[in-house]
Amino acid sequence: MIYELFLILPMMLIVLGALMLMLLSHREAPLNRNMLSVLILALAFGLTLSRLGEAHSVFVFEAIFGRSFIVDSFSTLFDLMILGGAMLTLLINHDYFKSRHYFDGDFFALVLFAVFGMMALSHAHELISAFISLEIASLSIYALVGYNSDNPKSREAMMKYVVLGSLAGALFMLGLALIYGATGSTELGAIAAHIAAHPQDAHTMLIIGGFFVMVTLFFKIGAVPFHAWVVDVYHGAPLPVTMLMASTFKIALFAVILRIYLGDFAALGDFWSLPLQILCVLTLIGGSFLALSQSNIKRMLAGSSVVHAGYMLIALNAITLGNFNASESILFYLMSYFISSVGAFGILSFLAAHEHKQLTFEDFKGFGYSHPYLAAMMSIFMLSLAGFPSTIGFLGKFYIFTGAIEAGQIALAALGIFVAFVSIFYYFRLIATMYFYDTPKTEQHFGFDTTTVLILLMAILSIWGGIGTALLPYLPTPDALIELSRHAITSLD
Amino acid sequence: MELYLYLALFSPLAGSLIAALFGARPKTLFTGVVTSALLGLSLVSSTILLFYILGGGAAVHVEMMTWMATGDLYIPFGFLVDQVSVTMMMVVTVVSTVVHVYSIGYMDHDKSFNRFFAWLSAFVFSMMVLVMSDNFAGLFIGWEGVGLCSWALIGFWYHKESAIWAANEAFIMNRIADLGMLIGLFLIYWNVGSLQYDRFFEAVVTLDQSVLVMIGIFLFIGAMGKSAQFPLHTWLADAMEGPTPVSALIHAATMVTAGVYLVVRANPLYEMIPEVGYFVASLGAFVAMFAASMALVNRDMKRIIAYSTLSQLGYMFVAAGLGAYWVALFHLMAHAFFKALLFLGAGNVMHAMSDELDPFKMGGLKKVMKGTWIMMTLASVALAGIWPLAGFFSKDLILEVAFVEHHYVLYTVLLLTAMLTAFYSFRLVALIFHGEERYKEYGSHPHEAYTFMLIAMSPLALLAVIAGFAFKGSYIDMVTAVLPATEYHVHSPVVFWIMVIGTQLLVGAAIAYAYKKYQNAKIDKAFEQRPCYKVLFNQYYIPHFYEEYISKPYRELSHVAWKQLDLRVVDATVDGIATLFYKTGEQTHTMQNGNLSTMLRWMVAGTVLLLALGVAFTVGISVVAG
Repeated sequence: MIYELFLILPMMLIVLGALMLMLLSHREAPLNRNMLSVLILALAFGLTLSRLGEAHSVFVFEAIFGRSFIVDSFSTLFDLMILGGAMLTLLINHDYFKSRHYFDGDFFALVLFAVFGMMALSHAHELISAFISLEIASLSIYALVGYNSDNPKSREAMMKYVVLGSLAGALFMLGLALIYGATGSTELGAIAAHIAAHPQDAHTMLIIGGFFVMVTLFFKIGAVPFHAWVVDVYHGAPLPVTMLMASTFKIALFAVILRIYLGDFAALGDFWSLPLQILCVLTLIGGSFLALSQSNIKRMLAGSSVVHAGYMLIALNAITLGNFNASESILFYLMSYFISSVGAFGILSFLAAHEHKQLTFEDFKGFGYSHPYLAAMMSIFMLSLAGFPSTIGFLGKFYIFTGAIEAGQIALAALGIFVAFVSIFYYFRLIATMYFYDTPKTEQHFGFDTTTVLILLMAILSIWGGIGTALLPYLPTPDALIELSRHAITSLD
Repeated sequence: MELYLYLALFSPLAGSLIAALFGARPKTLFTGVVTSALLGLSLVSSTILLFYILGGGAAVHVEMMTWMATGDLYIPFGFLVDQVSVTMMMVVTVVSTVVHVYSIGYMDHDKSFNRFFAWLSAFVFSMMVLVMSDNFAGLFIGWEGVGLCSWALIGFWYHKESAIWAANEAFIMNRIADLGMLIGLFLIYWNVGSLQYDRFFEAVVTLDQSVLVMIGIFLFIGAMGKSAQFPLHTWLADAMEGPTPVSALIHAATMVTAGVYLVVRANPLYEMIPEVGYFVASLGAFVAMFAASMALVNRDMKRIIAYSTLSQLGYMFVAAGLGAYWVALFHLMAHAFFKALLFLGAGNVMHAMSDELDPFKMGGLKKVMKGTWIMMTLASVALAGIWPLAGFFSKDLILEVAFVEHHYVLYTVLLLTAMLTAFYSFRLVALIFHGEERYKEYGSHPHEAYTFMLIAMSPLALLAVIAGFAFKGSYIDMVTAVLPATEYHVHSPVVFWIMVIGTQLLVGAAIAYAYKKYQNAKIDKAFEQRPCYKVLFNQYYIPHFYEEYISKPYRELSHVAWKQLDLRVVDATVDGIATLFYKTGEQTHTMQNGNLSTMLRWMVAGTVLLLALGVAFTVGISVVAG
């Protein structure tokens, strides 16, 4: 009992913290509340960290909740990534919060509710709980997307996201009903048992239900053809929210996708493979088109995030074909993408806070001269996102492509590599814009504060992870990360 | 001991990083002081390690961290301090500490003072990685690191066209050789499955002879580039464009000896393939003679010393090629001390003469530059191999090795080269320091270097004098613990004494002749018209040959490739792909018009597509199953 309480303590902390922030919402200055949220997240992070590495797998309060919530090594790792991601997102936007007036009210409470939803998602072992968790996270994010109500783009983005998201949610419910109809349960273990007990051809309804569930999840990660919202919503949302959606929320979504695919639907891998391959191809190519045609950096990053989702779908497809090792590559990729994209968004947020620009490619002309240090770091992030060797992004892609080749998906891996080449075009375009245009602007002073230090940290991590060494002996190396992921994945069985 | 290992290795890096922070600023004295102090720390740590090893301690082997581990490939950042690497560490740290302190004075008026120290310390760090690594991958990192730093330091005065040219030449020459080295490493990994020294040397006995020969040749090609052996030697003389302390440290004492170190380190390999070793020795003897002959007539002080370095490297390769690895290493060490000293002395002269390099325009400098004169004379005596200075012990050993191993041709070549060495060394000394004061015609006002620069040089002078007789015994005891402990004794004492005394006499005669001829030399116009002079002065027309028959055709080929291949094929393809994407993007951007209804249609279309696939699939399965 006490042990189980201890296990869910981080989640409880987040909810209580969110409630407390709601009460404080009109008393404290936004920056103080930001720090308070970071503190709460850090506490939960520390608590979760203490469990890292020990193998465990417990259904919490089984007497009350049944087998709907599980705490295992897998969810622990994802909790850490979600909490760490949210923490970094809030911290790196410190300057941005300072520069905008609309972050009063319940902004930070909503962020914490979203984080709670994401954590619950990684713990869900039952489809209805998964749905509720997903909706907790989504509803908070809907509100966050439209938080800057003075900005018509922000309002429009929220509207679109709510409408499309509701459709996706409805499809999830429909799929859920079908699955329940076919198997008589919504608990993942029971579904797996049902699949194992019946012959392959008796699963038509279950598979169709599964497709509906998948549509929702693919919608949330922005896979083509469910991607239409991505660019507009990412662009319209306030920068911190965009960061949260692009990196942290995606991590939580892959938690539930991996849990469903690896743990329970694995036996039906044959059915998933072809549709997944089609989605992969569509996502990789469609995302590239999206990213290529943007003139705003934020929109370009939004478009390219679709492509990154495509890379992870390659690995997911390798999993459905039986190469379970590929799941580690997804985890590693999530981390590498997180590091580089948070860094890139961080620079955008820093600039938006200090120079009030639209952040188009035009605005970056001569950036290499006016901000030599930030430009160098931006180049690192672009290189890493493009998957240039000696950055963490390269290793992420390397693991994904080798996983795909091991699973026999050579054509898909080749397409992935081709798309990575295409991505060089739009990522390097920014680097070229920064350095190849002379402007009379004078060099701006580079000051150390929360935002710039964190950007620097991300830049160092990108390189450190790419060289493949632990320059600081107590930080885990990429190999250790892979080891950690493997450990987490095995706890699913 | 691990602590000292890390201190020795990383304090130059720390120094370099600190100096680099101020790289773009005007001179700040403390960068020079800090880097020198940190190198001093490295020197002290290396000395502690040396005494530990001398005292019979086991080799210190640490694995700092994993660098790469994928599948079967496992490469750690591992470091090894054994008898061989500790020798190299001492050479590197002693010379570089001296050079650092010296440079504080030498670079005094240079506006890029800080940048100089950043690169110089970075060089030392790379060199330490090179000699301390416990595997070929780490060695290769250091190998490339010293190449990079050498490039930056040769081209340090980048506003000079010739300096950039020399830097690039050195870099490209080394690159060609490094390709050979890389092939050697790949062959090792391919056949052994590991790049660790110990794993490879264990496996050497089991490998096929032909594979070993290939590995040996390719590794030696790498060594030829770094150590500027024929035909990749032209870069070394041109590298004298760099500041003189750089020439002393990189192009005399340390980096150029990396090739010798590689052969010595890979001694279990070369033991197995004596025919390759014999080739190495023959090439070494050829280069010794060849380079010495070019030094005879040159009129550029630094180039003369550079040719002499080349020639001495030839000696080292003779020893290494004949299996006398400890002899090669011993000569490497002794040579590092006196050659660095010679270069630093030349640096003082250059400073005094406002960067004049032609010794025919000097003369009589001993009156104004007494300290420099004494040190350069000492270094030259050591280089010539006169008893009891360092050069005598190490160089005579090489002659003995050639003699004892019955390679009389090599012996004769080396003996003649020893005479040439004595001649050109003292030609230089005579021209610079003796005779009438020709510099007055050119309006120079020479002055002695700062006292602290002379003090900084004095440890090298001391070592050039005593390194032979004081260290030889204990040195042999130490290194022969890991290197083959072959003794080289001429059996008959009569022959031995004839050899030794004969060599001394010949060398002495060469010195006397050099003094006599050049003490009051005027430039001999008639002599300069002779074909043999022209051939030597133009370095056997080899640079000319490279320019005409390699560089020019290559440039033409590149031009064709650029116009025909790059612009028409490669660029066209890339542009084609980009245009294709853009065009398609323009056609399809209605799909992304931001309209909510369109978005909803997309969602539905996608769902229907997936659903159709699902149904088709499941029905298909049931049909097949049914």
